[in-house]
Amino acid sequence: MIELKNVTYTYNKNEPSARVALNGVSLTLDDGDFLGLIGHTGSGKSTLTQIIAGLLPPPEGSVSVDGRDYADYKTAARELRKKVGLVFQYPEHQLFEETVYRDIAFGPKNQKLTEDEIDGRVREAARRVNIGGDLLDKSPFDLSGGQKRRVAIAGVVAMKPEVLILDEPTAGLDPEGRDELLSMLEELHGDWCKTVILVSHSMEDIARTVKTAAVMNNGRLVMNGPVEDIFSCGDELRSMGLNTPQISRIVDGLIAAGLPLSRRIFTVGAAADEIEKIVRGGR
Amino acid sequence: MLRDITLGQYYNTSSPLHEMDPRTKIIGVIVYMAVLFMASSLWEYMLAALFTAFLIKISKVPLGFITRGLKPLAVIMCFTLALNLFMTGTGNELFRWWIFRITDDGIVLAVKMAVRLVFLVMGTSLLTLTTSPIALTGGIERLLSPLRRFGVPSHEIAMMMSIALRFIPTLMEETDKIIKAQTSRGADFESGNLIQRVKAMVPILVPLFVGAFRRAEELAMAMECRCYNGGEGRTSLRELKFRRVDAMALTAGILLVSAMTALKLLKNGGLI
Ligand SMILES: Nc1ncnc2c1ncn2[C@@H]1O[C@H](COP(=O)(O)OP(=O)(O)OP(=O)(O)O)[C@@H](O)[C@H]1O
Ligand SMILES: [Mg+2]
Repeated sequence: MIELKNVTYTYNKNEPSARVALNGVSLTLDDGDFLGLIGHTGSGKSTLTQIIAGLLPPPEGSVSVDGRDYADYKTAARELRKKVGLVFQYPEHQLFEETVYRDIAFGPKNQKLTEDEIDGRVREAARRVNIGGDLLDKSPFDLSGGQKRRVAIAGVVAMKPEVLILDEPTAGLDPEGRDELLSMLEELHGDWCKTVILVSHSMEDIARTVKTAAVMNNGRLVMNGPVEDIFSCGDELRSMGLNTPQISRIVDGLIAAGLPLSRRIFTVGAAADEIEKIVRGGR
Repeated sequence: MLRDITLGQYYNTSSPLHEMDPRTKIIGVIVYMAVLFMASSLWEYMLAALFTAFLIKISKVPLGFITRGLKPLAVIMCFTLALNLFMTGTGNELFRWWIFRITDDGIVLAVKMAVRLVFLVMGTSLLTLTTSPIALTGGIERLLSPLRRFGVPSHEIAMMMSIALRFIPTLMEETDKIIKAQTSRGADFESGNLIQRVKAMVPILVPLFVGAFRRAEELAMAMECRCYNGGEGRTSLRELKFRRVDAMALTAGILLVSAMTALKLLKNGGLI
């Protein structure tokens, strides 16, 4: 469990270019959570993920890990780095090894696992991100963009972090690649990483993947709760430069046109079911 | 640490130095450097210090910003200090140990060199801090253009420099991100012996270079798409003009050089 209390983080402190990226953010991450993190560009999502992963200089506010309060963030950060695996935006830009295998093995090696364990982790991670065994001996630079992305994600997954954070993992993927990635996350959350945080700009991704979500706006955490509750506040989301999933807007339109649909429909599947019921009901 | 590299960073504000024609500033820096190397007596160093302080004052760049540029130079500084301290053979010996001997001349020389370096870095950082990269390279291009006749590709040099300057912050940002990403994968850059530490740089350097090449390729493509084909017949949006501040700078420069020469003459004449 990771708990942030009133965390404020400023980039380039004491300089003319100082910028408050997080402003009094309090967030509790329980084991087993699958949290979606949304917010418009520059709202502080990436900064928040990096604070949780223990990668930034100390912020103001307090951080506790597994119920233990840390006097200073630096010691907490050491704990956080062990627990949290962060997949950065465009993680494929961080590949460096000669072969895919060795790149995925980088993390487990740093964890000082035995050779056998490392081998097991690499193969398991590759399987989970759908990288075939034949690719393991290739150079990561010879792969396609989507494959590179998956290798990079495997590099973090192989460390088996308790908390896995992915910063816009679907950016720039085709619809199929996106679907595959999201299902992969669902599976990982089931039995590999206790807690998963998915940062995304896509309301559709959030609606279909996670149960709870947090919304950032201008460095503040403005909403935090079940996805249904958040997407029920369409006007508020729109005022923050976000929106509800496309399908909910269609459903809203249908309701306005007189169809007796529920307002809490946020995925295409659910909408199809509801509409089918009405059609079969002969109305 | 990365944030300490102020070289090539522009501090945006408005001041007489910011308004000055980049050509004036470039020539000014060259004169300033020459004057620094001319300085030898205490009085001359005081003059240089005073002038540097004056420049910093009118530039409106916070002092912290300028001194921060000195930090990465600490290593070079220590090196020159040590070199001058131990390698100067002349003067009265003050201290001797094994092959090292320290003389009073050595100390004076070491301190002078260190002070000189500090001023040198502060003066040149002022140039980049008060001149936007575009203005700077524009100035260089114009200054070099008489050499075109002798086959010096002045436009290309300026373009290369402006691109390099433009990408310093981008590359630093990228480095920062890569370091964080590899740290998150358990990479350790702080412990181990020298070889281990150098090895630990590989996961940073490879992605950085790959990224730099990718960027270069994309940029070249983007430039070609906009019909860039070198300097031939290219005009500037902002024409450079000699203005009042430049005249003032010229005066200040002449004053500085004359004052320096006067001090030298006085010293040689035994008056101070
Ligand atoms: N390294 C940095 N140095 C200075 N300012 C930064 C840095 N990184 C981010 N910022 C600033 O902090 C604010 C929050 O940035 P952050 O990257 O956390 O936003 P984000 O929500 O992830 O945006 P996006 O959706 O575009 O990724 C932005 O205004 C940004 O300009
Ligand atoms: Mg981001």
